[in-house]
Order: sequence, then C-alpha cells, then structure tokens
Amino acid sequence: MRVGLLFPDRDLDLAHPFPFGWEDVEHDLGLGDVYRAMAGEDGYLLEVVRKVLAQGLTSQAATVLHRQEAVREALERPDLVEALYTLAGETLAAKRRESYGLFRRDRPDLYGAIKAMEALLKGLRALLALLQRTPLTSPPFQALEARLEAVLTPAFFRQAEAHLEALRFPKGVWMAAGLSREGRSQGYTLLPPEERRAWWPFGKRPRTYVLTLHPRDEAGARILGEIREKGILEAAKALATAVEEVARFFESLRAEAGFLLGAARLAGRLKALGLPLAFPTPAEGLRLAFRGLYDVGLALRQGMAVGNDLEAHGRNPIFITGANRGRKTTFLRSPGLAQLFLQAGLFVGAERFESGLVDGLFTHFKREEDRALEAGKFEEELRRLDGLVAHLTSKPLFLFNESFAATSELEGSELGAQVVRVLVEAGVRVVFVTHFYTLAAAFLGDERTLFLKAERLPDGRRTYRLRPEPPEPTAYAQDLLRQVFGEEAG
Amino acid sequence: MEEGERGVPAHFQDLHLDELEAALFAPHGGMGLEAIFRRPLQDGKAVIHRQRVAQDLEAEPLAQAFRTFVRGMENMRKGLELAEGARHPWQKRLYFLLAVEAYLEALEGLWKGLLGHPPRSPGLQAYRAYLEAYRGSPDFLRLRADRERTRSALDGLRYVLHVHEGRLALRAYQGEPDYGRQVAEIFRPFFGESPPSWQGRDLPPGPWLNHVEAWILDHLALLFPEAFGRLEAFFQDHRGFADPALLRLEKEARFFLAYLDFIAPMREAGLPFVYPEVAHEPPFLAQEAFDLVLAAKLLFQGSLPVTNGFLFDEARILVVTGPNQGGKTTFARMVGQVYHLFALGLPVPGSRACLLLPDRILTHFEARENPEELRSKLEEDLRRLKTLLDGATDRSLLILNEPFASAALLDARLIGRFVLERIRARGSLGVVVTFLDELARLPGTRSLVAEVDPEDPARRTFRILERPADGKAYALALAEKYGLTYARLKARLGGGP
Repeated sequence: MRVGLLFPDRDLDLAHPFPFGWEDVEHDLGLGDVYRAMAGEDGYLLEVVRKVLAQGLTSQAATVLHRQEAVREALERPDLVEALYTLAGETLAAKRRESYGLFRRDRPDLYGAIKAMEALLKGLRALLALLQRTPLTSPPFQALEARLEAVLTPAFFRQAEAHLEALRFPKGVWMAAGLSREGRSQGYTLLPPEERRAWWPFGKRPRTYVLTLHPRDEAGARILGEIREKGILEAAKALATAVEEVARFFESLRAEAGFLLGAARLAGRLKALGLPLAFPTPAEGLRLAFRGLYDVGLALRQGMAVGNDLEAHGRNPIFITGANRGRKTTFLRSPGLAQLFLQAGLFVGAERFESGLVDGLFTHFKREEDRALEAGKFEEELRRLDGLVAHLTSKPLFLFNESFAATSELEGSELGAQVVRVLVEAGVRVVFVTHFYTLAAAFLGDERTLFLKAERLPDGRRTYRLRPEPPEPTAYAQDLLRQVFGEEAG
Repeated sequence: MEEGERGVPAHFQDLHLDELEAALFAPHGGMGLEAIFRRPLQDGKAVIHRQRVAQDLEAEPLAQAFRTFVRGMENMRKGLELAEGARHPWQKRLYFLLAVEAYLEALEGLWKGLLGHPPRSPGLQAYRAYLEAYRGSPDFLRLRADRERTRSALDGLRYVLHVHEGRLALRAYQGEPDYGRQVAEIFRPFFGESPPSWQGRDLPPGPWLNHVEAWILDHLALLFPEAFGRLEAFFQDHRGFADPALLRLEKEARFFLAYLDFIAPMREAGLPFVYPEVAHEPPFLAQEAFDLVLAAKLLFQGSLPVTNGFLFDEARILVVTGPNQGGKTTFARMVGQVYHLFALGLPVPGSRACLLLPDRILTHFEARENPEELRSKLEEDLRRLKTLLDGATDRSLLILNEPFASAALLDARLIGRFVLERIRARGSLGVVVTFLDELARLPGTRSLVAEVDPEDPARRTFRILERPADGKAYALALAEKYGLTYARLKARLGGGP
C-alpha cells in the first residue's frame, strides 16, 4: 500500500542516506533557518524535511510536478495535513505500545501482533473517514483516497477482525506435520481451529492418541509450547509481516504529511512577511532565469529581502565578482536554495523561477578556520575539493565561494580556472563567487560565461542587486576602508 | 626408525614435519593418517605406484569425485555414531538409515566419477574393478532396494498434532486446509507484490529427542505400523553393511587428498610441485624447492617463499654458511622435507627433482642452551652424533644444523673436520649448516652461502647460492653502508685527494 503524496510511483524512504557533503550544503546555504520555519521544535519533522530536500537532488520532472500538486493542496488545507500528521503519529504510538519489535525476536509474537493490528485497523478506519469527509482537489490526495477505498472495504474489516479473534486459539492449535530424518516433526502447517467433530461428521472418529502432561512436568509444558509456536509460526509470520507493512504505511504517511505540513508552515511565514512565492518551472539542460529571487533564509532571519532578476539560459559558468561585503554569498545562496526547493517540489522565494534540473548540489565555500591552521588552509581546501570531486554526479550544480583564496591570487586563479574549465567541460553547472580578478578574467571572451557584479550606486552605496558586468581589476575594499577608517584611509 | 615422544619420529620436529602433519590431517581427525605419513617407503617401485595414484587424484574431475566420496563416508560415520549413541530405539533405527543413505550416496558419487574419468594408475584401477563387482553383488542390491522402500514409507507420513493446555493429541492427517495461508491472504494488499520473507531462524536442535518428541515417535509407530515395520526390518537385516575394502579406499584417498588440498593454494599462487624421478646414481637434485611449512605460513600472510635448489654429485656433503637469519636452517629443513615427501610418494616442492630414495633421514639440530653445562652438553651432542653416524649408510640423508655451536672454536673445528670426514667415509648424503667456513673447503663438500643483497647488506635475500665461503663480503658491505670502511672513514674524517 502506497501513500504516494510525494512521489508518483513510490513512498518516501527515510533510510536513504544523505548525499556526500550534505552537511556542508546545509551550512553553506544557511538552511538552518528554513528548517526551523518548517519543523519548529519537532525533531522528527526536522529529519523528514532534511531528507526530502536532500533526496530532491535526484528528482525527475514528473516527481517535481506531482509534488507541486500535493504542496498546493497542503497550502490550501494546512489543517488537513496537520490532522494526517497527527493521526499517523498517534496510530504508530498505539501500535508501539502494544508490541514493539515484532521482528526483533527469533520468532514472532502472535499475541502482540494481534493487539498491534487492532490498533492499526483503528487508525485505518480513522484515516479513511478523514479523507472521505474532505473535498480533496489534487490528484495525489485523490489517488490516495481511492487506493484506500479499494482495499478498506467493510468486508475487509469484518474478515480481518474475525481472523484476529480466531488467532487467539481459544480451543488450542491444530497443525499438520511430517517426520524428519532425525525422528522429529517438521513441515508444520497450521490447520483451521476445529469445531467439535467438524472433520468427521459422517465417518467414525479417527484413531487418536493423547498425551496428558503431569501438572508438574514443566519441561514438558515448555516443549508443548514450542510445538505450538512452530504450528502457529506461519500465521504469526503473516500477521507480524502485515503489522510491519501497515505500520510502514503509517510511517510513510507521517513523513509525507509531515513534509507537506512543513511546506505549509514555511509558506505561512513568508506570506506573513509580504514576500512573493512562486511554483517554479522544472526545465532540462542549461536553463536559468528568475525574477524577484531572494534568499529565503535571509528573509526569515531579517524579515526582509531584496529580489534579483536574471536571465542566464545557456550560460555556464557564472562568475560573481566585485566588492568584499557586497553580499555576494547571498547571491550564491538564493539560487542554491531555489534550486533545492525546485527539485524538492516546493515553491521558491521569487516571483518567477525556471531552472534545469540537476542531479547533485555541491558547495565549496571558504571556511573561516582557526588561525593556527593558516598554513594548512590551502591544503584543507584542496582535500575538501578532492572529496567532492570523488563523489561528483553527472550533471550537478557546483557553488564556489571564494575558493582557493587561501593562496596567492596568481596561483589560486590558475588552479581555480583549471578546475572550473574541467568541471564545465564535464557538464557541471558552476557558479563561482570570487574577488580574484585574475580568476574571472581568465574566462573573458568565452561567450558562455556570464559575469555578474554586485551593483554599486554612483554615491558608493550598495543596492544588493546583481548586474551583468565584466570583472574589473579593482575590488571595493578601498570603499570599505574609507567607510570604516574615514578619510585618512583614502 | 628412531622414534621420539608419542611415536613421532625423531627428525619430525627438526624438519617441522610434525607441524606439517598436524596441518595436513587436522580435517581428517581420527582416521589414523599420521601413521602413513610417518612411514616412508623403502622401495622405489612402491614410490612410483603411489606417485601414479597421486597423479590420478590431482586431475580435477576425479579429485572431486573422491572428495565427495570422502565427505559421504564421513556422513556415514557420523550417522553410525549417532545410531550407536541413541537411546530411543526408533531414533537409533532412523540414524542407522541415515548412515546407510550416506554410504550409498558416497558410493554412487564415486562410481559416477570413476565411470566418467577412468583412472590410469594401477592402484585406482584395481579399486574401480572392485567397486564394479561390489555394486553388482546381491547384498548391495538388496541394501539399496530396502533403503528405497523404507525411506519412501517414512517420507509419506503426515499427521495432525493438537496442542491445548498441557495436552497433546496425535492422529493421521486427513487433508485439512492451510490456515496460515488464509491469514496471509487477507492482509495481502499491504504486502505489495511479494510478501517480505521472514528472517528469524531456529537454532538447530541437538541430536537427541526430548520426552514429548519420544512420545510422538513411539505413537507414530503405533499409528503407522507398516512404515515402522519396514524400518525395523531394515535395521535388523543390514547391520555391518559397510564394505571393509571400501573403508580402506576411503582412508587411502584421504591421505592423498589431504596433501593435495594443502598444496593446492600454493600451486595456485605459482609455487611449483613435482614428482621426483627415482635415481640410483648421482646427481641427486631439486630445483626451485622451498620449505612447505614456511610457504603455508607466508601464503597466509600474503607473500611467497624464496625458492632454492640443491645438488649432490661427487660432492655428497653440502656445507651451508652465511649470515644469521639468512635462510640456512630453512634450507636444511627444505632438503629434509623434500626427501621425506618423496619417500611417501607425494609431489614435492620444486620444479624438477631427481632423488635417491633414502633408507633413513637423520637430523641433529642445535638448540642453544645453558652455557654452564657446556661440557656435558658437548658430550651429549657427540653421543647423539655418534648414534646418527653409526646408523648412517650410503643411502642415508644426514642433516646437521650448527652441530658444534656451543663448543669453543678450537673444539668446534676439530669436531667439525672429524664429523665431516666420517660422513664422507660412510658415503651418506649430508647437509651441514655451520659458521665454520673452512669446513666448506674440505674434500667431498660443496660450499653454499646464504646471500645478502649487495645494495643493502642489512637485507637478506634468502637465496642459498653455490659460492666459496669467505664470510667477509657481508661484513665489509655492512661497514660500507654505515660508512666505516677504510676509504669512507678516511673521506669522512676529511682529507683524501
């Protein structure tokens, strides 16, 4: 049984490991604030949100579009996704109370499985009722309701409950067996509980031998218990498996509804700030264009954000040059976050956003390290890059922030240019923030390269907007010095 | 043959043949294969007879047939042990039936192997003819038919157990449906296409029945008297079913397989093995040989031993000198092992070998001991040497490893010359490891030296090369490395042109 709210063809798999370097991506893009807005203090929900965003990196367009439908419904009906999330959580808690770890022992616990299944059946009834009384509009939610209705018929509940009652074996267990080569019984088959004289209504009662244990024969009682367990093993296995399977369904429901709940909360926060939201367009290949794109993390932190516009179809690499403290990192983060959101089927913080889908996201940001490590810093950068390159996917997005700045401009630029060239030729989309003029200048004349610059007004003030503009040999440190030290620095 | 502790021949420990024996036969405990290993052949024809059997058993399809045979016979033995130990009469009979089944399966597999890959050695051809006759004998045919009938009767039993509150009921099965499947069916929509498989596994029970199982078995015999009647008749009619000649074949096959299995990974790693020619006149030689025990250890650690050769011609005494830890003792052991394995009719380490079948292998390996007992120690050594020399003939192999190491230099020289002279007089083959270079210059000897790397004298190559013993090249080279030769020291202290 599939939940299917997040994927058209399967359920969310939380066991899937994070892609290589994911913690760096989270840190570099400032995802912490986004997570807090989506998950609040809910540790489980935090994990779900992290997993879904990370797994989005391998999304196909069909998944993106499917999930956008579900997210739209969640934004319209935050109460519904919250109720689903709560119902799934409560049902699982009830199941765990009755039986934890049916699979942990060497043989299934039939009695625990019966109690657990009763709790799960109750959850299924409530879920069906909740979906049936809500006027669902999106295909993912409608399909879930239809799948449940097909299986959870009144007859199903009636039969399942009858079996649960019979499996308590009030009159003992009947089983068929054969003789093993060592003289034991083997090949047990559970037989239906026998009504009195059910099997010989017309013939004579077959010859039967009876062993009645002495009341103090504890070893014998234990052995009989083992024989009984072997007999009910198949039924117990089937039931325990069913319990785990239904529980897995509720686990998936909890995770998928949880993500949608997070999406609804994030949208609520951004709307409250008066910021625009848009469902982005997933494209193929070297496509990138946006209007009013802002850094969602920064907006959550500061309550405001400046939007940027860009059309960069067919352009790769993109260099962002210009003054220090020109918020260049934010220019790197906003498209990085938007790409992640796009691939995860979420809305983005923009008026419009279109981008080609990638299959991985890598960030290589300058680290503010301990000064004592100064000497090894360049080596650390190279080691980190080596690790990323070793795990590179076939068409990822690679964000560089002041990489190779731990060495001289000449050497850092030479190495950086070589790295960028190799990556671009390999089909990697590169966005590179650098204050090294020499590095960016190495790509002057290359038609596919796009150069962006943080805008500065004639009076020296910054607008935090990007403008296409070739690199210039001077940065704006002079400005900063003047600002900080006054005229004497000039 | 001189015997040491626990019936192990005296030279086994010196040559590490005791370790080899233990490693070879560990998987075949209780079969008494050690006795064969400790009894080298004295007749060249017997050696060739065994070599041909071993060659047959090396060819893979036949080797596999014999391995399967051996495993089957082992199962038979296990079954018989269980039948012997069982207290419950019906279980005893069931284990007996299992033993017979293992026996029949073992013979069937062997027969198929022999049919598909006829052996070429007279030894195995004789067994094949025997097995063919045996398989046609009335006793064997009856054994096979009876076991078939008995087993199918038992396999067909199906019965119903009802367990309820300290009460167990038993009756025949009458075709009732499988309820577990009905339960699984109702929850199938949640499993998807295929229900996940259950991981849990019961521990295998011990061999004996508990009292409830015994009760069930007893009453099954009452419920199904015909099947159990057959079992009883089978047990009574076929005691002592195993054929003695085939039991002997199993033991002999195990001996060869144990050795061939042991050397298989070495061969795979590229180490050569060869069936030596039986020679009566010199030269006696082996090429690219190695210490089998050391090779096994090195292979385990992922490396290979250095191979060495040896040659006896008019010079029948090999005098081995050179630096410590240079492989001299290993070389001496290797020579002894090669001769012993040859005398068992087995393939020996080496790419080519041509050997005299020795009447005995005599060894004297020095154990460096307490110097306070110097005098009595020397005396004891000499007594042992005398015993060895007294027993030696011109067909004996004598291996002496640092035999005079505890004596004063003057004594050692004297004794050394004397002993070598005696060996020469006897005409025995000798390998003498010694620190006395001059022994290598005596008539009738061949001088072998453990080599060091000319580039790095601290490194041993473990090659034992035919070379005059000077004992100095090594010391000089090492001094060079540390810059302590005359020229280097001169230069370091300044000056020189």
